[in-house]
Amino acid sequence: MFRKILVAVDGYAPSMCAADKAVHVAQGTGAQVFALQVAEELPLLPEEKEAEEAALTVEVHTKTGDLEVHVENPLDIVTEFGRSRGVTVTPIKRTGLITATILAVSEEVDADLIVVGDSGLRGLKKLYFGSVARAVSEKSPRPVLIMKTDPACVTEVLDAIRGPEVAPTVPPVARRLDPAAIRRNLTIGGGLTFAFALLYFTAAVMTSAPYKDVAARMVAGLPLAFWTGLAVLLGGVVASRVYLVRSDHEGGK
Amino acid sequence: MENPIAVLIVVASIALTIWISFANRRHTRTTSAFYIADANITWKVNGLAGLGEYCSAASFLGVAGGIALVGVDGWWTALGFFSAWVVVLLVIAGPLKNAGLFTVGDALSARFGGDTGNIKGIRFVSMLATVALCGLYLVPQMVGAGHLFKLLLGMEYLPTVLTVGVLMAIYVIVGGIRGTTFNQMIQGIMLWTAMLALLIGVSVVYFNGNPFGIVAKATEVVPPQVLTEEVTTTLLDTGGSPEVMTGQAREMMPDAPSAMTPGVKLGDLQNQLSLVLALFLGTLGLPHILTRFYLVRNASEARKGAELTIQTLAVFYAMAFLVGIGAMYALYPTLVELLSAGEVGKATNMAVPILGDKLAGEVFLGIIAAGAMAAMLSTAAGLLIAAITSLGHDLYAGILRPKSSDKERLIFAKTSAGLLAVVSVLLAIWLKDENVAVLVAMCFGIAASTFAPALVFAVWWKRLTNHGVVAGISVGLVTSLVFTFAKFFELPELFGIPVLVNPALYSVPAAVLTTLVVSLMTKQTTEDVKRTDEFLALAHGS
Repeated sequence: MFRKILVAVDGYAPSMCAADKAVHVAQGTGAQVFALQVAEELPLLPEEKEAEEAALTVEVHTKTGDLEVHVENPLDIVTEFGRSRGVTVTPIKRTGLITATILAVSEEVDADLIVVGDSGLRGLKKLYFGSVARAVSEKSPRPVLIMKTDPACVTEVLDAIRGPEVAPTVPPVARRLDPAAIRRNLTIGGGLTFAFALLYFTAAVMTSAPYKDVAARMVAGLPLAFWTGLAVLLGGVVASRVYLVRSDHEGGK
Repeated sequence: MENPIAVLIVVASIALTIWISFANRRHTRTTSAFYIADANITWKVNGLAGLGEYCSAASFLGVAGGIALVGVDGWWTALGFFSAWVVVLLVIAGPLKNAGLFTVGDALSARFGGDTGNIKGIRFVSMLATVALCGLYLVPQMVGAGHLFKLLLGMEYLPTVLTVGVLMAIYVIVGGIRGTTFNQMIQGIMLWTAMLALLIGVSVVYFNGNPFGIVAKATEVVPPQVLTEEVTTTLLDTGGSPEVMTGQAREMMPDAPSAMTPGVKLGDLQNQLSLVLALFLGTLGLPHILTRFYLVRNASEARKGAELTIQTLAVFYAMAFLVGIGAMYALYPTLVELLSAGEVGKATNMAVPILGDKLAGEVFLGIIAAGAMAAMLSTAAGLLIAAITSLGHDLYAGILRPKSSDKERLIFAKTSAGLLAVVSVLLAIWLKDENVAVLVAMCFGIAASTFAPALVFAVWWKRLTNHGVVAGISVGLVTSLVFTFAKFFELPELFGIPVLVNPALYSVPAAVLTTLVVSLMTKQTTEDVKRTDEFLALAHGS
């Protein structure tokens, strides 16, 4: 039957059901399971991220009440769940576009079955987020199994890790303040800021009523004020360029 | 309805923006190709989104409009807006991003003690300042939108601003959060392209396709606001083309300054200094601009995005200058007429759309109006999101209910942001005759007196204490608000001090001195000293 099963997990309820099914199929066939988590790298504001998380969280109705599933470490959970059922799960974590990465990894590991969860999004949310399950099944030449969300499988997977299994938090190494670093940054940023401020305020003061004769002096056929204005624009672009090059240079040390 | 085609274009462009941002998000999840996963995409998106967010009604309508009336002096607001961005990059972008925090309040509380330290005071004052700033900054966007739709629809200002203001708030609060970054990027591109189209249009139609011909012409034209009453009457009586009218004005006033003469309409040293100081430091304290740095992975990406924004802004404001001067010439008869009828607000705020109409009719008017609407919508979105973030994180989660869920926090924050938008619409009704660029500059003044000193000290000065921050922000906020409203109420002086075009000349030194003095008088706890060391080490990457 199946030798290599790829299951995509994301911490939400539907993907827990996909993982549940992948492990059960592997139990029956002796297949190897690869669990893939794709981290999206999108330029989103924190508030946008929160809104997306809220939109993607699927409520699972159970006998004991509604369960909102959004776990931070789905790979650990699925690996642990596989171990409890005697199935080896190989965790893979990638960064990129969700569907594209799932397809790429399915080629890499040569999966003969891809299992994904159906997010169950409807209406506007579906229009906005699209369906990863559908995209994978449409675009992959390999067999794809799409799992619907079922409270039983979600609780089964989550039960596997009940107890103090959460990864211990490593206390962060305290950083030491290096006054030289501040001085170094101050020389680059501060020096450029000072030079730019000098240009800016000179140009600005020159155009105020008391000094307007200076600003009106003709240089190359146009008043000085026009050239200082252009100089402010150009100076800003140059200053930011210099700053960027210098800080990347410093950062590379 | 007076301009059905133009209105249709505006509505269609808003719909298109929403659709693209929707399609884009779906696309990033379900595409099978890797072509947009280019490692450079994040800072490019971010840089262009920064442009879209930064260019508000003031930059798109106010700058060129101001230049059209007074000439080269009107360029100063643009140069200030631009320079402020450079200062952000040079002074705080890198360190703040290294420290990796959400809001200005978060950045400050990282230095002064997460959950354990005494940070409620800081969170509270920064929330107040954020809300005050965002609320006031929304006003010019509403005023601009009100005038724009008044021009497009031929309706009265009051119903227009009510409708447009409420629609803008609904757009942002209900749907706008989703895909805001992509929206901002699209709107940034739209604004830039619209300005370029205006420049090309005015060059081709009036200057034989040579944009530098605009500058040459500018040395001859007498700015409309400089014309004497007598000359204005004569010009209106004889009428004629721009060529004829500008020639006649110069003939009648041979010694009058030209569009390229500096210092014509700018105030005395005090007023000019106050204005440029506010503009220079303002962006350092604008919450809706600062959050943009939190989008990218690391300081290097943040800097690259910021640099892209700076370069596109430099070209944008240079184009705005040429478009403004071009508009002065091309719209000379219209501007003279509007000024003599006392419609300064319309002349200065609507010169850009009127130029579009004049160049290529209603279609172009529609495109320009769509660009302006994009400027106002994207800025309003950025502002309301900053307010929502601060209300949610700093007020609700930080002070009111620390153990609340994301959803509860969002509901609270969105409701409060809705109320804030309503207040802004009311203010926009009161302040309808104010120039949008002046209103925005005032917000820069408030920002320069509150967050700007606090953040700069937080990132660079070890000795800063939390009492110093709270006192500095409070004094800066109160001083700047008092002088801002004194200006709105048109008081010539307050407590014997002359009221200037901008509060910054008083409120910035007040805030800086208060922060310095209070910090030196108070002591950090040993816990705070340790945290300060860690924060500074993190921020400066040692």
